[in-house]
Amino acid sequence: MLFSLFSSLLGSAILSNVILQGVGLEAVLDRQIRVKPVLIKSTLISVLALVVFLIYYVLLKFVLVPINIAYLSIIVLALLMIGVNELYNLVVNKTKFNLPKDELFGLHSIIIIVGFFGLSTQAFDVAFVSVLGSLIGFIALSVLLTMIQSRMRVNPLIKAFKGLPILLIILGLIALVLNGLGGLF
Amino acid sequence: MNKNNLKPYILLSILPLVYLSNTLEIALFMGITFIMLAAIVYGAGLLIDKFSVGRMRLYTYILLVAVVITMTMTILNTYFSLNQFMGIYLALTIFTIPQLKAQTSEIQKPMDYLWVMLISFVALILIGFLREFLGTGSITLAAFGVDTIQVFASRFGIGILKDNSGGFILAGFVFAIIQAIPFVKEEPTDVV
Repeated sequence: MLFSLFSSLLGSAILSNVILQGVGLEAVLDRQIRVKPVLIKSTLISVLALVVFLIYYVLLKFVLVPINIAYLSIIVLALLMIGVNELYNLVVNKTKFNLPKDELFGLHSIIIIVGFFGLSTQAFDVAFVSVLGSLIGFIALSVLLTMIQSRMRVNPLIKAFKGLPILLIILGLIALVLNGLGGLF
Repeated sequence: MNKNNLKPYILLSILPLVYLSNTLEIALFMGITFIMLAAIVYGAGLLIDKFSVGRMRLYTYILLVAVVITMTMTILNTYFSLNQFMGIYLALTIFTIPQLKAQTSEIQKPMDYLWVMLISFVALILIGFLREFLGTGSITLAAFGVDTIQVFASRFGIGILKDNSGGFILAGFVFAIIQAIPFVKEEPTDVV
């Protein structure tokens, strides 16, 4: 039981990593080279995404599906994102914690994609572990890409490859390595 | 606006779709849907920009995108058997439009929007074509009435291009080519 849980968690974090599916790359496109701010930012985004997933799952299973309006799920997800974004801005303004100040913090693409896990018909425990694993994978890969980016700044690189192109090539190589671990899960 | 400065927006606007575009057919389908939806969002955006500002403007955009995606996916699901991820990935792509608009006040002309959409479409088609052609050695466009055209045996194809890893590597090279091509010739300036 515990092993299968751990296996699912690692499978979601490594094998079906959300960043390796082309989502959430805006977290590493901020030209940030220090790991700590990226870690804080991606962790906060993950917490918001988890909150959105929990509310969304309940709404989907107990409201949208029973009254046959599941086709409105993307609109509900958009409304939830807006609500969470407003809540985050309220918390940032009212508390003394040094949280990242960004008006659009809650509108990250990771929040949309974890909402998608609620769309599938899988049971809550499986969906929750998948989401948790995906978010752990998102945090880990964001940090990894930031570390790579900070090293790339001091290396000579053809001008056309600077920025997104070289990031995508690195991402492809990471995906290639992680795909090799597919047999384990 | 200088067209060379639009390149980052072109690359970012199709980034989520690269993952799904592993064949020319899917790339064409998503490219056409993307252009249609982006045109609707840009058109409606002119009205939104006129009547709302700040965060509310962005929220209006997001709700508009959600409504448009919901309607489009309902219509498309009636006629085609679509990948279940497609709606979400299209939503992600279309969500980037208001965010890009929020980040810059430089893109204001309709021709700039048209330019971004067209180059994004061409880049997506190119990625889909190369992934299918180099990955399998053939091109299939069954939904558009074209049978399989086999150019070389599939055992000589580059298998990883069908996976997400190969897609990202190829997209990296395509994006680098786009970055290398000057859309507008710029006069060299002396910097002292």
